[in-house]
Amino acid sequence: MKTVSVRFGLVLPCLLAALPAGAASLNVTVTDAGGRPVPSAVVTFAPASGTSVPDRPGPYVMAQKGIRFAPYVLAVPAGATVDFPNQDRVNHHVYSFSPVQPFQFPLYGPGKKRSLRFDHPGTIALACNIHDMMSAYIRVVDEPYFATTDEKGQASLDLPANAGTLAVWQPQLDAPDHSISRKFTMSAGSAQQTFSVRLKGEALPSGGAY
Amino acid sequence: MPFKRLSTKLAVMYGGLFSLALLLIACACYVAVISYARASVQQELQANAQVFKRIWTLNSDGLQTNAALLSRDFGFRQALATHDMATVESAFSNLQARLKAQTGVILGADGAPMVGDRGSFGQAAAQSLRGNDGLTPMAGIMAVDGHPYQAVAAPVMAPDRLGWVVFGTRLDVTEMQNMQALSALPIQAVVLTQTRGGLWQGPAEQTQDFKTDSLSFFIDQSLLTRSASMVESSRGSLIAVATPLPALDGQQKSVLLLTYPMSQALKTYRTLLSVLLGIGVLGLGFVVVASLYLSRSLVRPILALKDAAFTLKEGRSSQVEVKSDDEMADLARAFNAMAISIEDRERDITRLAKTDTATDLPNRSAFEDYVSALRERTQDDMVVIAIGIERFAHIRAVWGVTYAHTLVSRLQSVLTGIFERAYVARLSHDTLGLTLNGCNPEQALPLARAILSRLSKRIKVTDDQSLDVGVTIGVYHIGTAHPTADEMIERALIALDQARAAKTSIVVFDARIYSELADNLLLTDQLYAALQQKQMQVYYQPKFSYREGRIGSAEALVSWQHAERGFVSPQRFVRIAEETGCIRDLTLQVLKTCLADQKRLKDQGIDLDISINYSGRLLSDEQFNAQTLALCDQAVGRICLEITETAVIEDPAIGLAAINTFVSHGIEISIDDFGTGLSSLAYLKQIPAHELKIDRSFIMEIESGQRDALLVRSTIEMAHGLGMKVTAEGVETGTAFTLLQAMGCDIAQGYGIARPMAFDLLVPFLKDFARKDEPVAGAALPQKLSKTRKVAG
Repeated sequence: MKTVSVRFGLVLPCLLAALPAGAASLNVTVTDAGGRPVPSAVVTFAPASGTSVPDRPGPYVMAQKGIRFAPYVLAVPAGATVDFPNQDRVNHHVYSFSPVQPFQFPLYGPGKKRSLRFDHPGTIALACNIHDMMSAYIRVVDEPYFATTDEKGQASLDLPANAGTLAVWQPQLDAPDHSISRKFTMSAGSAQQTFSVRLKGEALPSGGAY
Repeated sequence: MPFKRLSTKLAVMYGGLFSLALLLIACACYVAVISYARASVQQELQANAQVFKRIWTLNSDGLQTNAALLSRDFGFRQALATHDMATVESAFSNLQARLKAQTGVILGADGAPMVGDRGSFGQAAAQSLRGNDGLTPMAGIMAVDGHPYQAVAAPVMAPDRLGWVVFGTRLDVTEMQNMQALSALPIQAVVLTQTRGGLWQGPAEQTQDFKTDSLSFFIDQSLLTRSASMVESSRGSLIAVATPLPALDGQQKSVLLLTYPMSQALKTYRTLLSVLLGIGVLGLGFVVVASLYLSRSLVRPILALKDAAFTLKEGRSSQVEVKSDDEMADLARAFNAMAISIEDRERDITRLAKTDTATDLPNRSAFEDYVSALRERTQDDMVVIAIGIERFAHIRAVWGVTYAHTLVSRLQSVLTGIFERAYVARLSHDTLGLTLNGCNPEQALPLARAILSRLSKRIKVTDDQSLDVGVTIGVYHIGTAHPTADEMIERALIALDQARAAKTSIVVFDARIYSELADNLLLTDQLYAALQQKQMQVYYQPKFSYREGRIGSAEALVSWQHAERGFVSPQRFVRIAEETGCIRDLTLQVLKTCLADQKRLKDQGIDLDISINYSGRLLSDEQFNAQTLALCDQAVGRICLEITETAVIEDPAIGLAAINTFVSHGIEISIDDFGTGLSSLAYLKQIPAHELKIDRSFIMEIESGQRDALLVRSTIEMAHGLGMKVTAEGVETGTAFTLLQAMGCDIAQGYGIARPMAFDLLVPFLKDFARKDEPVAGAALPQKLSKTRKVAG
């Protein structure tokens, strides 16, 4: 119950923040060196001058389904609570040794759910101790605006007309901290930005692999 | 190739050919066995290489699995993620002990060695795995300080890479031997890695047998061809194959080199090769023995024929034994027939050569053989007698040839009748030879007399006819000399000739006379040479004229001083000159010298008549006479030709004509040596001589012998009666000189007047004589004679 109230607390300011007049939509496309779309890339925008942070109500869910994590990459604002529902017919032992916030949920069965609040921005690499092929990432972001690319490598952000830093993060992105960024000034009206990135390996893990 | 012996040639040819064939077969067998062995070992090696690789993979897989297990262990991962080094280290060593892995290392997320062997192995592993994004465990060869390691590496993912778990085993001798133990063959395995320079390098203790260069080359080739082949090492030839191995970092090239000594490979076939060699050697021996036997059996009859031919050549009878029935036997039979016919013919020839066919008596050749054999057999005294049948030609002419031959046969039988031991042969048509041994020198002459008396009787030639035969006998006794048979017979014949010449019945060979005869031949040659070289000197012997009381003339005499012989007697060489015909040259030389000398005397105001000896033989030579005449016509003074009586005037008609011609040309003629030669009164009547020279033999005796004095006196009177002046030769004493003067002799010549002297001495003698003793008185002569002797001497 406590978790639900926390969620509401988060959701409401987000809804309010989305409303301000003058905001415009930015479409970002991320492709790899071969021009193929890069899914599961987290696109963030940090305005140079302080603006109000839009409320992000959530809920943030990292489900276990079909011996996989879903989604593969989950972007959450700092302080958000993520649910880890077990929607499989088997037990899972979810853990992360990431220094940002190591944790583990020892075996829990189907229909059970675990939740954890992530206060510090950073990357939480997730794995299951009993299923080596399961892997996923939670990207805890500081930036007020963020979105995750779909399978077409596209993400859409509603941004105020403001200058700032536009950044892309992907677990396989071959760059320091798997992230690249550029200065960007959002003008009125919709805008289009494209990132061409270099990857180590496939953007998404194939079945059976890590 | 030149062979001295046919048997060797055959043996070498046959044996050599067979041996060559055997050798070729042996070589072919050897090569086949070797290549088969090599091929089979190559196949086996390649199969083994596959097995090794499979074992290798299994080993790697095991290690890999275990490394992967550790890398996935939750606790391990947690410890590694949280940098709980104590836990990590204990977990690592726990697994290392469980795996019995030699060495290992854990690399951190940054790739640096964290736990385990952080030394060269850890560094090498870090180097190998740097930048490796592999998500799965991997295995391969890793070179650590040039040493190959079998290494496995498993990434630690959570799910990001936390690091690597690496285990390694050093591939040293022991490790390789464990692998080698798996093979049925004693294969040596070694892992080599390629250095940056491209050379292949392995553990020193395993590769020390190879040269690095050649080994590297071999490995490169082997990797290309992917088949086993030969490589040289200090342990001998090896069969080897190189198989590539995976590398931990995917770049470091490494190979598994399997080697197998060729000698080992051939060991199995050694027995087979030994058996082949044994068969070869046995076969070779058999071939050699067989070819030797074959060649010997072929050559043996040829050698027998050769020996027989040599025997035949030496004059002995020889036959070859015929054993077989082949071509050699035909040849042997032909040879035998030939040998027999040669012997027959030789016998005939010998008989003909040794027999006088007319009488069937032994001939001279047979006689010589007999004498020779007798001399060989008996060293006793022996005598050879030559019996000459006188007037044989006459007998043959009157009675016929057959009768003459029969006579010879009869004489032979008479002789053998007297002397049982005598051997009689016919030496020539009219000469019989007889020899007898055991006869001493004293018996030789009586023996000859006995023969003479027996043969001088009437000989019964045929049943109804007998003949008085005259024989002359020459005897030669061997004495102490050692002549050959031929010489003995020849000497007997010489004695016979001497007997005939002396008109006696028997002459015993006299070695001294014989040697003088032999010397005449030499002297003849020397005489020719002397004439050629004008070695003859002319000496002048002055002649004293009673009437004029002075030396009015001189006789030219020839003197021959031979370099080796010294003074040669004029009697001797003049006789030879007459017999050989060189009297012409001699006379011409003397004549020319005299003419020149007479001219020189004339130039000095001395008139001297010169007398020259002129052989009776020369008078018959018209051409020579003309030559003499031409020369004498140029004379400045008087020339007198003294016709010597040593030789007969061969053609009196021509001789007399010549003398008449000489006389008509003013040449004086003198009859020399009167009283000893062949001159007769008829001779005196025919020759228109101016002078008669009484021989010295009469003058020498004039003082003692009344008879000689009478003869000289009568001769002087007769000569004066015939209108000739008389010269006395050999006047040596004053008595003789005076006696001759009293007898009315015209001229005196001799040592009493002067010896013969050279021209150089003649001139002073003549001048001296004319000055001192003028006028000449008879009483002064003995004194004068002594003086002249001094001058002449």
